[in-house]
Amino acid sequence: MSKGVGLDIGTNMLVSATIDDDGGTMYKKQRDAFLRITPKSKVNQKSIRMALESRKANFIIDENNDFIVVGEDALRMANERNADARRPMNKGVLSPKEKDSLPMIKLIIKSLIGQGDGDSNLVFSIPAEPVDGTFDIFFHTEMVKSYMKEMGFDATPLNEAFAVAFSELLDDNLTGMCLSFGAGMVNTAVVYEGDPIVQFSLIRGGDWIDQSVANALDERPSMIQVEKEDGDIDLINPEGKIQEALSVYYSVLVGYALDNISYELDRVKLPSFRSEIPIIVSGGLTLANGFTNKFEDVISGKKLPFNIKEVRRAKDPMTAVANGCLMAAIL
Amino acid sequence: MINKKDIPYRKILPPKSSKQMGRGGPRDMQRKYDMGSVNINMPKVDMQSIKYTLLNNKETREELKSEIRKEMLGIKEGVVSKQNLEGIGLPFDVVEQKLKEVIEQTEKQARERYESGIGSLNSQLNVSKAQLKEYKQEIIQLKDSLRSKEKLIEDKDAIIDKLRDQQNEEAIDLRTTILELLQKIKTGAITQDNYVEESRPILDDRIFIDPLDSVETELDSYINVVASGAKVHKRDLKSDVEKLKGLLGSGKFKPVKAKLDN
Repeated sequence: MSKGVGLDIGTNMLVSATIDDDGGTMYKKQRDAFLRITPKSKVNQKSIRMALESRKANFIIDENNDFIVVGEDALRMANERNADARRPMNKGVLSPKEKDSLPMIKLIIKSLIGQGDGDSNLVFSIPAEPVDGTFDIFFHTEMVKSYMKEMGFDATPLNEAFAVAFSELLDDNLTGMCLSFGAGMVNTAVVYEGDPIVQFSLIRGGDWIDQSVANALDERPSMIQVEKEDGDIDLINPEGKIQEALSVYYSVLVGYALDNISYELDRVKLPSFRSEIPIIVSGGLTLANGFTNKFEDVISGKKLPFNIKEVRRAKDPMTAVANGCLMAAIL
Repeated sequence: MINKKDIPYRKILPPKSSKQMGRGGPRDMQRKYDMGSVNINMPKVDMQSIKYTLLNNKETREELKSEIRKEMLGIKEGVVSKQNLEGIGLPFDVVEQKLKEVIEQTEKQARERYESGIGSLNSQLNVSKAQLKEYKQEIIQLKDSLRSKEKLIEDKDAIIDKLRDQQNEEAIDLRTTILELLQKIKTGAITQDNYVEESRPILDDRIFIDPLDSVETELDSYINVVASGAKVHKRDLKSDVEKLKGLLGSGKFKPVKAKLDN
């Protein structure tokens, strides 16, 4: 089996998939969040470094001796300091406006995939064109390609939802609808016998839920994000005001996504599906307990141009995209 | 010879009544008086002898005639002066003059009416002539139009054939284009995202400029990411890749050229 690397460049999380020595899949994840800490003195600089090392945080020291905490620790430390971590990809793609963050993202990616041998195959995920907004997918793609080339990889982009199909529809003749519910957006692909017939994205996702709940409850979005990801939330039986609000906004987002899917599928001429097709849900948002039930509940009232066999969550929602990219890389 | 007495008079006369006046009423008497003054007192003569005399003597006959005429002229003047002129109180020559004037006036009016009628008829005739001219012109135009239409009708078959040929050519072109597009869609050369009309000029503004190209950064990285395997579901990567190859490569499934976005 040839070597290859799959890389999921998500809004909230970067996930790499590689082949380990035993031929199995090895994943590495890093949250793309930053927190800059500027020491007030040399003594302060020393103490900050000791504190970061003691909690085994990942960090970068720049030319000004500022500490840039990256990943999960950036989010946690921002909450401890009542601050917000920077989210350079909070709109789904890398942007030239986030020039200061680009070197850090580059370092994080390097920490995930290492150095290539010059022509190693790498397939990375990109979002589809959004139907409810605009962004520059071209810059994002070219920037990542540039990074990859510099790191010794021959990089190829692959639609995020289509990558989920590679990973999850192998027993369904590569036919079904795949949805990736990420932090920045929802990506959708309808795949028919291996052909991605429809691909589009919506620029609402987990971040939109965090912001909406934070506005409703007068809290900080980063605090809501931690509660959402660590609170073992149950969308069917939520406990407390935050979980109740999260449950409500999950329903709103799922309804919005399905309304748009129904609208977009109505516009294109789909092939007549001979039998029922599965719907695969993937991405960090689907980790919440009861997500699939809620999705089934909402979709039962929607009109789609095919019959649904089942709503199925990806085997591992956080790594499905990276796994699909890896399979595409080693084909 | 039929005697009047032999002819029966069958009309039943109405019975005489007191309302039927005789000729002896005051008005009759007055009329008799008036007329009596102009009665011609003809001398009683032996008409039979006069007859023979006159028949045999032409001169006498002519003299008599002349005398009678003189008498008649005098009687006539008397009658006229008695019956009309005296009643009106105008002399004869004045009346005659008036009559002449009236006759002249009447003649003049009649002539004027006639002339006026003639003028009106003339103008009507002129209008009719002009209309006739217009109608003639219109008829000429209609005839021309008819001739051109007839020419078109004569050429209609040729025109229909020409249009049919054009239509067929367009249909063939369209069909060829559709088949080409279908083929491209089938092979994945065209997707919803990448289709552009080939003939349309496009602005190639997608130029990537690396913002970090000339930026020197001195960053010390202390990032250590720990790898992990699949948490819950163990995947057999080799088997999955073989399955994927089979699905994408076998004849049963369509080739997926669009699977990787270049």
